[in-house]
This record gives sequence, C-alpha cells and structure tokens, in this order.
Amino acid sequence: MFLLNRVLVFILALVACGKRILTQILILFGFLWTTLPKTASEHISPYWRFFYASFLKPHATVSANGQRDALESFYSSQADAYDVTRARLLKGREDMLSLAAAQLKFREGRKDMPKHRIWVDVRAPQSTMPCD
Amino acid sequence: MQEFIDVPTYFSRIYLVDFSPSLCKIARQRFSKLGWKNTHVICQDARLFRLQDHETAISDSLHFASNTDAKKDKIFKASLVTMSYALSMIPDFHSVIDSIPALLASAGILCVVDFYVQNAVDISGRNYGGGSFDRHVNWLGRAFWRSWFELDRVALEPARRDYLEYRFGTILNFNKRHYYLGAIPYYTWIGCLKAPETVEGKVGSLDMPLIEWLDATSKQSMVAAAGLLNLSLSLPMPSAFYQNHSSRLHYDESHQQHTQFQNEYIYAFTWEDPKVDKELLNITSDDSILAITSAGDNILSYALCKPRRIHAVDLNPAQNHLLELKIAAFASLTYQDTWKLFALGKHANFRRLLLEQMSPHLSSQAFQFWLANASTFTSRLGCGLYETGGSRHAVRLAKYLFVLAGLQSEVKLLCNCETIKEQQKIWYNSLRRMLLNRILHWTIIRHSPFLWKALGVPPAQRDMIVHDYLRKIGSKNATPAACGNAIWDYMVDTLDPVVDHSLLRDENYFYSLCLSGKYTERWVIILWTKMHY
Repeated sequence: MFLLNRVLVFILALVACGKRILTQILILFGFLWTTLPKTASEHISPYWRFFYASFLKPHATVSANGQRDALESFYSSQADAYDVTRARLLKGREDMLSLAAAQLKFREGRKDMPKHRIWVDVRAPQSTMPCD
Repeated sequence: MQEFIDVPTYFSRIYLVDFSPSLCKIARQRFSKLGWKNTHVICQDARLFRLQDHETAISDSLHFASNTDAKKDKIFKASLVTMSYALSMIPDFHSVIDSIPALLASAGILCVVDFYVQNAVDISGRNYGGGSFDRHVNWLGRAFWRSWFELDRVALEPARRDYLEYRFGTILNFNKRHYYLGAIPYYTWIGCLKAPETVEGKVGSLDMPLIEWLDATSKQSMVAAAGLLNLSLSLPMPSAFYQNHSSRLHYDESHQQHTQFQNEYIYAFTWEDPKVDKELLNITSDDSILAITSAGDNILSYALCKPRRIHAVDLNPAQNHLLELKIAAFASLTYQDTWKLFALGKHANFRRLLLEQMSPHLSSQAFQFWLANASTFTSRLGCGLYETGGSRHAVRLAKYLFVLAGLQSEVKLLCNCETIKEQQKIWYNSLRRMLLNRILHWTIIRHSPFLWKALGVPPAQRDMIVHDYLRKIGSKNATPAACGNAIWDYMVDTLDPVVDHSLLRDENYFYSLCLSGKYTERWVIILWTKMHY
C-alpha cells in the first residue's frame, strides 16, 4: 500500500513536471505530422519512388508487348517524380543543347539549311524535362 | 534549350517522339502550360516515325489550298535531330539510326548524348571518330556499368556509338563522367550526314568534285589519301572534313611523333619578335608563309599583313589546338572576353564561352582538349594561361627563385623602368645573381630534359649551341664540361643584351610577360587596335 502510494506520487510528480515538456513534444509532433508529409511529397517522396521503382518493385517483364509494357511498368509509378530526379542526373543534355544551338546559329545562312527549321527529338524515358 | 535559343520562334515545328504514353501525356501538359504551339508530341515507335506524314498532315490542315498535290511532293527535312539518353534504351537501334539520314537536311545536325562503355582497343585503328580523349573506360567500369544498366533494360554496349559514328560524319564529340553518380561514363556527339556532298562545300574552293580532287591530290597529301581510303571503304571521312572551317587539317593522332608530347603544349606564348619579322620579310598579299605554330602569336601577326596563305605547322598537336582557340576567340567573342582570356590568361566563364560561342569554330580534337583543360582559365588558384604548358617549369623556377630571395619588388620595378640605365642597375645589382647562377645552372638548366621540356630546346638545337661554342673557343672536344659551359655562355649572351638594349616596359613584352604572368593594357592596345572589333 505504502509502495503503491509512493509509486503514484512519483508518477504524479513526473506528470506535473513533465507536463510542460510533454506539451512541447506534442506540439512538435503535431508540427512534424503536418509538415513532414508535405516536404516529403516535394523532396523525399520523388526519390523514394525512384528508389522503389528502380530497385524494389517487381516489373512486368514477360508480356506480349515486351519493351513498351516493361517501360510502362517502370515509369507509370514515377512519371511525376521523373522531372525532379532527372534534372539532377542528366546535366549532359544541357551541354549538348548548347552545342546544338551554337552549330545551328552558325549554319543559319547556309543554302542547304531549310528556312523552316524543324527539330525532331527522339525520346526515351531517361530524357530530362520535356519543357526545353 | 530555351536558355540558348528562343524555341517557340526559332523552330517552325518541333516533334517529340516518345514510346511511353504516360510521358507523352506529361509532355503535352507541359507544352500547353508553356503555350508553345509549334510542338507536337508523337507517341510512336521511333523506327516508324516519318516526318513526311506529319508535315503533310499539318500543312494540309493549315493551308486549305487547292494545290495540295504540290505540297505532297515537297520534301520535309529536319535541321536538328536530338537523342538524349535515348539510344541506349532502344532495342533495335540499327533501324532507328538508319531512319535518320532520310529525316535530316544536308546541312542539318544530329546530336546524341548517352551513357556508354568502351575499350580504347576498339577505336585504335579509327581515323574518323574525331579524337578519343578520355574515351577509354577501365575494365571494372566497363563490366560494372554495363551489367548495372542492363537490369533496367538500358544497353551501354559500344556497338551503338560505333554504328552512329559509322553512319554519320563526326563534327564534335567529347567524353566525360557523371562524378556525383559514381563516375558513369557518358559522351556527347554532334554529327552530320556523311555523304561527300556535305563535305564538298567546305573543302577549300574546289573546281572539281570531291572524289576527283582527292584522287588527284592523294599521292602528295596524307590527308587526301586518308579521305580517299575512307571513301572507298564507305566509311565517313575523317572529322576534319566536316568542320565548319577547313583550316585545321586531319592528322594521325595516334602517331608516336604526336603522342610524345602527352597532350601538353610547351609554349603558351611565342618568343619571336613579329616586328623584326615584318621588317625583314616584307609580306605582301601574294605571299605564302610556312611557319612553326608555336603559340600562334606570330601566325596571327603575319595574318595582319593579309598574305595569300599561311601554313602553320607544328609537331605538337596541342600547340595547334592553342592557335585554333585564339582564332576561335577572335572570331566569336567580344573584346572584353578575349582580353580576359589572352591578356590576363584567366576567365571564370570559359567553359560556357567554349560551349556556346567558340565550339562552331573549333575542330573536334581541339574542342576536346580545351574542354578537358578548361581549368587553365577558370581555376581561381592557378596563375592563368601563361603559367601552363611545358614552359611553366622555367617561368615558375624563375618566379620561386625571386620569391625565395625576396626580390619580387625588384622584378616589378624592372618591368616598369623608364630608361635602360635604370634597368641595367636593377639587373646587375640583384636579379642577375639569381638567374645566372652557377649552382642553378649546374643542377638544372644545362640538362637536356629541362632544355627540351621547359625551354623547348630540342637535342639537335642544343648540339648546335655546343658546336658554336666550341668553334668560338677554338676547341674540338665536346666534353661534358664544355657542353655545360656552352649553355652557360648562351644564357649570358641572351639575357644580358635583353636588359642592355631593350626596354621591358615598352619594347620587350616577351620577358615582361614571363616575369609578371600577364600582358598589360599597353601591349593589348598596340596589337589589337589593328584587329577590327
């Protein structure tokens, strides 16, 4: 009985002192609970989705349409995350486009260059952001 | 691309050919958001894409004219075809690459950037690749990256790039690594149609078709022989034939006489005085000049006299790369940028200038060289262009000696003296003892390797110096002591008269450049007022 009292008193004391700390922790937890998913969806989630799709997800490798279905299986889950990851990975494309632009500008006056300039970009999913 | 060219106005039509429907959807959304009306996303297998079908459909819908028959006969060609990280993902790459020549205009360009792996052995016999700087990937890299990417159905095998280089003529290419991803090798390649018609317009002024010209000149010219051989094997011509300027001739970069320099130039600046040359040579517009390139400064000063032709020859291809860079800079950059590059020897934005402005004027090997050595100009800790190359050893040796002896202020005074008497005073009192120093001479300067690598005095020239000295003292014995004395004598005879007869500040910019590491405004004005800006 005496022991139980002691224990109860101890717990109450803890609660009283810790109440302040506890409320702080709860506030922090609430804060994290609401903002972390938001940051995650912007920054971490694309990488997680990329990681999952690249290394963990089982792909539909055996199918009648072969390459196309395999590509779709790989990319449909991460098509949005695509831009964020690829921008970092594919800086080489920027250099290539600057070289292409320099060549085109130099060749502008040539007779065998068509006046209506057409650009064909053959893509595959590794390419970087479409809007360039 | 928007960063370099205004895409909606520059191109009349842009086609994105993608096999994946979800990415096509994103692309369409993106373009409608940007408001680019001239872009069409085609969700199709690249092997089946035909520009003709889409262009006729669009022009029919735009012009409801009665002469649709005439429109159907018109051939539509693309000015630019790009494949970024796409070639390695296409299983039947042969048919896709084969379909591109029909798509491309005769002056159009094909640009590819992709991951790859390759062994230098594959390309050792090839003369049309446009240089192979950094192309080799070591066995671990080859094995690992190829297997790793295969898990994602991305094929890095060298056959893709090889077929591309076989099917088209190379204009530019370079090889790099994505270091922050673990050093994945990737290449960027710019090419055009390989047919001789695309070359004809560029190879000088031909009175006859290219093949006849090659046939006629192949016996005298190694370049023409190489071109003719390639044509007969239905290989593309060496990349020098496809460049925008025909001034840089093709050379065999694997030959020992060129590789002995290990991709480093000796001179970043030239030591011959063009003023004296002009007085003696009296150059007119009918003259042809044959000169050693060295750093190219002399070649450019001869060019000011507008002779008919200058042949700049050098055993070291890197010296010619430097001359090409100088010509490209004068042809494409502003005064400010060129001044920073070649007067101060430093430019923080060199890489961008190289890619965006100078690249059309450089040959493939020169471009690779300068992209790999961009830190010459951009490095903040380095001392700029004039402390690079083989001669940096001599320049730095002098610099550190003066620093050790605490004579830097004297050096500055020497470069700014207003009269020769003052110069002589500074030189004979302090600086001479540091440079014309028996210990230094005995340990470093008189040795052949230093003379050749740092001062550019080849063994044959050294022998001549020794021979002249022996004749002077009336002896015939070329003992090591005599050789050492010969070099000493030569040094004294060279350096003393410089100070005695020429003012470093106003007349002798060669030495003031070595001592201070850059040109001053005075010299820039004198040389460049003659070049039109």
